[in-house]
Amino acid sequence: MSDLIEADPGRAPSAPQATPSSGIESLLPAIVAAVADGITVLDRSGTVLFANEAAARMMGMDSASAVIGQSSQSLTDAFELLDDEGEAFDLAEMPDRRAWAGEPEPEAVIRFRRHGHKDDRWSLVRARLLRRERRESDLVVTSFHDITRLVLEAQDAVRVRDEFMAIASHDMRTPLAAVRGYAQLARRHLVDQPHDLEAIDRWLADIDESAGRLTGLVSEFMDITLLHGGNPVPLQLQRLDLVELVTERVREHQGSEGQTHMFGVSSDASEIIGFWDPVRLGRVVDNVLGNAVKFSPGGTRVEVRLWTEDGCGCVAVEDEGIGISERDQELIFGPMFRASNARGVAGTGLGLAGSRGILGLMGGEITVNSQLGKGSSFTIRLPLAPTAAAGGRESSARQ
Amino acid sequence: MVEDDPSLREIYASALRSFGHDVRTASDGTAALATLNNGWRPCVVFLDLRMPGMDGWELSRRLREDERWSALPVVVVAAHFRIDQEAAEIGAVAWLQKPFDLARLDQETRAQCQT
Repeated sequence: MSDLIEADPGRAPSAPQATPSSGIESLLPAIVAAVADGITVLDRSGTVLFANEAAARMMGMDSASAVIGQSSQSLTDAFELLDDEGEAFDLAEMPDRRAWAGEPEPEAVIRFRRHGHKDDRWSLVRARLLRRERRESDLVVTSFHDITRLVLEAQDAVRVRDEFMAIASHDMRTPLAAVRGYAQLARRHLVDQPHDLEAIDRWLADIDESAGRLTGLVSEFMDITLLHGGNPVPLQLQRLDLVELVTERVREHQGSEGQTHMFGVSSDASEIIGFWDPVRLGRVVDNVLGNAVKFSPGGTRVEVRLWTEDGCGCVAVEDEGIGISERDQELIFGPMFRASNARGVAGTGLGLAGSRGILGLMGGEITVNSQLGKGSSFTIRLPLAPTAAAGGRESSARQ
Repeated sequence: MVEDDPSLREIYASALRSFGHDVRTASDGTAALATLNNGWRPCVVFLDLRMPGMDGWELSRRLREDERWSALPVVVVAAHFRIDQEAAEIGAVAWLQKPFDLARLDQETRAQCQT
């Protein structure tokens, strides 16, 4: 830094200086070296007159001295420069060139890909013209602010959102197809057999039921969106018997068409009373029962046990299915995760993430115990007494 | 009509019957193979892909590998947003993305069963 000023004696840069009495200017080289952003100073020929350590690191050099004296062209030649669309970055748009051309505050986000390397780095690059008394002595100061982590996080968030949209629209298509299908069947039937009102009535009931499934899905997506954004979910807590709720859900699954699994329900207590949201808790139980059925062969047993323990009501659903690998057990509660052995099974991966989030709002939790090829056991624990987290004021289970 | 969702299975089969076609249903690939092995000879298979038990990918692979069924045209019936890609992957002759107009079942059946 001091070299720069001495290189042009008698001409002070127009930038403001520290007052002599502060003595801080003697620390400026150390300060600039300590700045986390990369800083370079170029002259009009494009030669690097100065670079700090951060700039050297970003350029893949061991030290600033290896950078100083080189042409900026030879330094950037080590990289493929890309724009935010992944296209080759137009060199005329480089902030230093625009600063030379007189643009007051040029900046650009540039993706640097080192030749032969895969780990791209993104930088917010800004350049400023440092005017000096003689035009040919003007300098351009460029700063490189590494935003790789932010870019990757943003890309991840966009990916999750896109997957969510894809899954949400996919999931709604099946009940929607049933609504459309039954409506079309009913209309055709009205033409062919206008007096068979019994069939028409049954199809109308089916439309109603499918619309109900669709409504449940939309509510679930809404909950997941709220949970994901850390927003309160409007829980409707009321006095409930867990044994009754679970028994009812099991009966529903058992009675569904084409059902060949054998369900068993046992409970330590005749009733387990707590304050929970019946609709959402019903959805969670449905989800776990549905998974047990989906991921185990027909004809096998699904055992449901209820008990109380440490002030909690507990439900365990145990199947004899394909099981979940140890690695996947960590991940199945994440949004949009599908286990490696889950391909071909209808469903989305939204369910368990949402279930954990909803239970968290009621102060509860869901855990899994599983062995590949042997089966899985999911356990839900819900505090009997309302907890601080209950009521949806706070999301203790951000996803 | 190989479809795991009982409502859709009923809808699609009822529609095909009302259009005058002879139709059998199966809730997964295993049931579909059993129907074929019992001697029933369809001229087209409508196939959902994501099903518990033997899924649509596995069934289409088995059909292709068995010379008795390798020429049997398959129409994918699914909700997936990349259904076009999936249909191409399994060598399907066509695809119908749920929900669709039931008349499409008649059109596809006529198109495949003419010869």
